[in-house]
Amino acid sequence: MENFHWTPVLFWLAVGLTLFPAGLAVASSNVRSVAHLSLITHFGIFTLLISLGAELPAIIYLILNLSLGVCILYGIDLFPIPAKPPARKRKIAVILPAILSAIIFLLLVGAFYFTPQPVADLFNDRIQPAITDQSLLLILIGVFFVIILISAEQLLRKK
Amino acid sequence: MNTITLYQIIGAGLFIFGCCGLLCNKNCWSSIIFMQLMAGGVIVNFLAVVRFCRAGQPAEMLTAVFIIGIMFAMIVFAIIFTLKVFLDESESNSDIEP
Repeated sequence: MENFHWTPVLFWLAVGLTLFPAGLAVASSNVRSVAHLSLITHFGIFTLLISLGAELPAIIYLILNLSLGVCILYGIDLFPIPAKPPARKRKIAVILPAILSAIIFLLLVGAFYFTPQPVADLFNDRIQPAITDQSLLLILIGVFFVIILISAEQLLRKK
Repeated sequence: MNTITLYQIIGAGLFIFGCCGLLCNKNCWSSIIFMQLMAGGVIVNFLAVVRFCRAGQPAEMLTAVFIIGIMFAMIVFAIIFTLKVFLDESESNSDIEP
């Protein structure tokens, strides 16, 4: 574990915590679940800011956003919007965020691994990944995490 | 690709998700939440640009002030919205009573 780099771990954890709850929030129609998912997203953005090396802004961001998120959660109870018949979402509104988050995730993986190499390097060596292979394991863990999130969302929707 | 590209992709993705949410959801509470998401995307992009393009210069305070400014605007917006809902509710109650 001495040579293990924590920055990719933090980065992919932040990506998982940021993009996928955001995609689920767009797909969800329940305001309360949107608020909960946005809280997870804010924690992901906090992790992202930490991975950028900006601790003070990250802490300020987390404190302000969590307080605002909790206020919104209570506000939904205190001032409920007059009940309209819940509009059933079209299928495209659910599928589009999922496709979008998958594209962004693939774009990120591509941007992370396939760095443009000088032509001389291509003749000499085989193509080297930009970082060690340990982060691939973490990507798989991230995918697993996303599957758990999606299944939890489905279970909550059924209840 | 540079590391800044990764962060910019995430920031742009968050901003797009916020826009999609704003367009898809008509609920006012949801619109505040999705505006928060858009603000998060802007902050990530801003911090990435500050970190990578102005390397070596202290940017902590600048970023902190930027974040506080955006969040302050969001909190003011939420308070105004809450007051508006509260006033609308009290008006509708006063209509019903007599």
